[in-house]
Amino acid sequence: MFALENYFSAQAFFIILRETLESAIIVSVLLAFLKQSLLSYNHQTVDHNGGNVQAPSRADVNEDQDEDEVALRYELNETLYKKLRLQVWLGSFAGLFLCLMIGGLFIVAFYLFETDLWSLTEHYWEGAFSVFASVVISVLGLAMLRLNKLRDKWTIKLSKLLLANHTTISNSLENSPENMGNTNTTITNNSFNNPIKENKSNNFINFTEKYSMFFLPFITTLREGLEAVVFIGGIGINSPLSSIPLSLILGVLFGVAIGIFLYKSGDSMPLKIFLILSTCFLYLVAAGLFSKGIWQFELQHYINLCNGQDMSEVGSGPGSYDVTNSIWHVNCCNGEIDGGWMLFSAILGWTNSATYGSFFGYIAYWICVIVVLKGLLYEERNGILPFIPIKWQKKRMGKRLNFMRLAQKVSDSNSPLNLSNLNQTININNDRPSLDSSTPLIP
Amino acid sequence: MLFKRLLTVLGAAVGFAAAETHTLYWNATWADANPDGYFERPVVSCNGTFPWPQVHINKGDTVLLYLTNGLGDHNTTVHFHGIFQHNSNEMDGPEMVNQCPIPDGETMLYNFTITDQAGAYWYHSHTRGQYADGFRGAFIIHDTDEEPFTYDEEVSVTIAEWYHDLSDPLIATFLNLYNPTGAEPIPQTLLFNDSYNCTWDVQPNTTYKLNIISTGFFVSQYFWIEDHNMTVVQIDGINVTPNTTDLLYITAAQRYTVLITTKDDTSQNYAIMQKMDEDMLDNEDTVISLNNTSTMSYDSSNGAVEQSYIDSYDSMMDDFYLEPVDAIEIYDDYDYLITIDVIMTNLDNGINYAFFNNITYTSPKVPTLTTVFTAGEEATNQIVYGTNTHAYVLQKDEIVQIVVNNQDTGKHPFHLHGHVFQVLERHESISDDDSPVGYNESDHAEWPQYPMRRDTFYVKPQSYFVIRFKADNPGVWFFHCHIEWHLIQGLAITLIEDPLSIQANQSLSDSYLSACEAAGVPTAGNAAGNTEDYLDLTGQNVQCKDLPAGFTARGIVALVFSCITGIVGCVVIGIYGMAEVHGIEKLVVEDLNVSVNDNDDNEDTGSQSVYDVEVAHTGDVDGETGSASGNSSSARKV
Repeated sequence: MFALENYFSAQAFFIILRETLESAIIVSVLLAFLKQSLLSYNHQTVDHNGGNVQAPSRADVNEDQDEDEVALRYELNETLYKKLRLQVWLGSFAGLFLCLMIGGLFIVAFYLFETDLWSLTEHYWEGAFSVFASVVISVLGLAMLRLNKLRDKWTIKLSKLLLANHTTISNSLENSPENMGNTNTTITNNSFNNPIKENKSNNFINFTEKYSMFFLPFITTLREGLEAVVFIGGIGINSPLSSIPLSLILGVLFGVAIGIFLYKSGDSMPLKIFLILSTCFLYLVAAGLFSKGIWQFELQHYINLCNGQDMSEVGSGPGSYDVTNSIWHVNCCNGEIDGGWMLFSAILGWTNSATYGSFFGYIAYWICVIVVLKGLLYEERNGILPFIPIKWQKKRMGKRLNFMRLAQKVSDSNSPLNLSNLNQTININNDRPSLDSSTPLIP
Repeated sequence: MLFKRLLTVLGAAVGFAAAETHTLYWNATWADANPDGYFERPVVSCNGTFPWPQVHINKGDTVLLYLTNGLGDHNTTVHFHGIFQHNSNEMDGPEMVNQCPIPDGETMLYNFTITDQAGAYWYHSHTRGQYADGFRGAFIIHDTDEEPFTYDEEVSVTIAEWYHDLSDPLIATFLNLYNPTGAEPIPQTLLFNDSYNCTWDVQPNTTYKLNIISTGFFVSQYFWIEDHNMTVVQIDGINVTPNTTDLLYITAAQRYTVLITTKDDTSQNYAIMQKMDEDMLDNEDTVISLNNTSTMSYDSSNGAVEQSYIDSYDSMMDDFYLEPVDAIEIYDDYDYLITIDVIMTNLDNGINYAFFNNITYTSPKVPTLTTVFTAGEEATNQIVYGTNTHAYVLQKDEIVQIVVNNQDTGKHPFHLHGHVFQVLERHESISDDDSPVGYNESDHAEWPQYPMRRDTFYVKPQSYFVIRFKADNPGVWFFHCHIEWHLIQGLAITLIEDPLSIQANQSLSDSYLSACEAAGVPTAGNAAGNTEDYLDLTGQNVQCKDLPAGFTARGIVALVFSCITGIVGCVVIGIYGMAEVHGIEKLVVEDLNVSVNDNDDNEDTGSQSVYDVEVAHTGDVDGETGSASGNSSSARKV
């Protein structure tokens, strides 16, 4: 009989999908952004303005510039675009490659390690990993619902970065026309890139600035990939190693497909629905994992009381569970050992032997998710989180406000920029250590 | 430190002796003893000494045993294993079956005559687990008739396992919520004659009749003597056609009488080996030694021996194929069939019990024999004995067939009181990976013409045995697993054989009744102690209820709640996913009148942070959801 659970792990699939998706978003945003801000320059100045920050008076200047200058600028941008696009792809694949190397070693170590160490308190380990995986899936899963937001964030961060880059690169290109270059340089140096100007002697920062289009996807894919490796390693305790390849391939394919979709289209309804459904799925998995984690802890506790007799391995029915802690027990349909029920167990958290802990854990998990989502929704609608003292929310609110202002200034090409607002934004951003790209940009 | 212990060697009873009466006064008391040389512990002693005496009587003799309980808060009883107790059913011993428990300070007289039995028997307490604490000994009936074999000397030895813990704490941890698999307590050592480092001094060129009596409690033992063959001539008191082997497999409570002819050469001593059947042990963590070595000494100057090894257990004798000397033919068909399945499972309290069919034996409130005597005509109705004693009423002289289908993966030695039974069939063991094989009346192995008879016979894992006997001994007879742990778990049935004959020919002694009174047990009534209506079992002892196999109301509620929270959670995820609000940050400013501090706008002197946000009118925050959403739509226009 073809045992599906031996070849496919729903948990592994979703974790890989999640991580691939995030990497794909960043790469697609990067590519879309590069394309939009560099290649469409000659047709629509506003596009350039959308990508970069320019004083409104300069727009008039641009319109009056002659054909040669525009053509030259286009050529320059095309070269730049190709160069940066190459950096993006190189970065992505370098990150992926490195993560595969580390991940491979990691997983091998994981499996070698497992056999020796975990025999005695095996269920504690399984429980800890289940709860850990559940919490992380929950935190990461939220971002899937806000792909557009994520995309916005990245767009804004990139626009800052690209502007800095553009300047640096433009300066380094010998053919750069001085007057045009000056226009940009002056503005950017005065506004966004004050720290860089001051640290020009710092080669490392220069280097990373110059190759930020490499490092950004590199760090992102590396980080996401390693996350995936850690979780799959954890999940591997519960499911056989043979279930990983198929889950991995499917997860990556889906992730890449969604990434392409994102790149080609803007905000789209079917995608949104897909994301919602898959997030629901992800949370069902996480709820099950959380419940199962608690269940594992209780099981190990029971086994300890029984002097190490592991009855759960015997199967279902009388004698396999702690009757004093049982909320229901069905003498069949065991999610740990019985074929299709394992899948049911992995996806929906089914167990044929529910304990008080696993039941209340499941309920509590969902209540937490509901409360957090309701809270975030409220925050999005009203700007603050309910029930939490405003004092504690100041920092969060400030961040959001800054982000909003920046976003508006960067993306709202129709409204003329207010220089005083800009200065304010710049002041805020100058204090942020992540302005230079040597610090990974974490959404 | 080497102790040499001389075995009690008794010359074979020679010549004819008139029937004697043996009067014994036994006071069961606690004493400290160290029978295995590893650990001193309290034991149940006989008049302060341990081990208990070997009792030797002749066929036809009468035993008058005054058993006094000096064990403090423990009750006691004694059962003479294998003795038919014709017309003396109340002397058989099982507590709450054939008698009331003897409480502290009480004395009960056991008065019985051996009319038609000879051979190796034994006695032990039939009070829950007590013989693990030492109350056990050999009971040898010497035949006054000519035996069908010849020998020079007779020697009796007992073999048993030993625990370093008392039976009380062992039972407490065994019948426990946290022993869900019903794993039996693991013994620490094996004893030979309830002792260790024993030596049997033998003469060369001599034929010995060796009675090997298992007074065991749990584990079966392999028994062999280095370089010596054993000719089995008797099992459980039944003479059999001689069968020579070098390896015996002896379960708890079985007896083998073997002839051993010593060698000509006295230059070497030989090892007498006992070894636990480790298949019966769930683990060996607390076993000190799986085997025990005693010395068969031809010459004491040869010293003690090293243990001997065997390569396999393949040469082990199969008792099924032994043939009784008296060659009684197989009983023609049966009149009454009892088919019982051995099942081990857990009840609602989480404790693992043993079941025949779906009943785990639970003691009645009145001993079954008392009910027989006081129920009058109703004694033939098995209802009066209660539903949890698993009682069967047998008619006089009918042929009873018992089929035991063992659905458990262990071996179980079953013992029938008051009878020896013919063994028709024992199926080979079935591996744990396969499902149990039950007896099929229309498809079974061919049965022997002269089947082997004994009183304790073991069934192999996941298979069955078929036995027959003639109900010609009126009385209440217990049929149970002689692994005492399993009896404690309830692996027993009660056979009430010809109750009206019991009423007619036997009576309850004063000693019996006074023990009951002292123990506070009613001296009349049905299993529930009801003397008015014997068919009314209200208040009888019953087993704990079954564990539910599926969902209970509680489980359904929990599952429904889990589903609801899951669905609500997904709906909330959907709502959150669909609702995306842009430009909300502006709302913060508008709604709350929040100002993001510029350097010149900073009114909060305590903080230097540019992120500082101040709320000017917190009053606006509360209860403004409606206007907030209104604002949010206007915010988008900006």
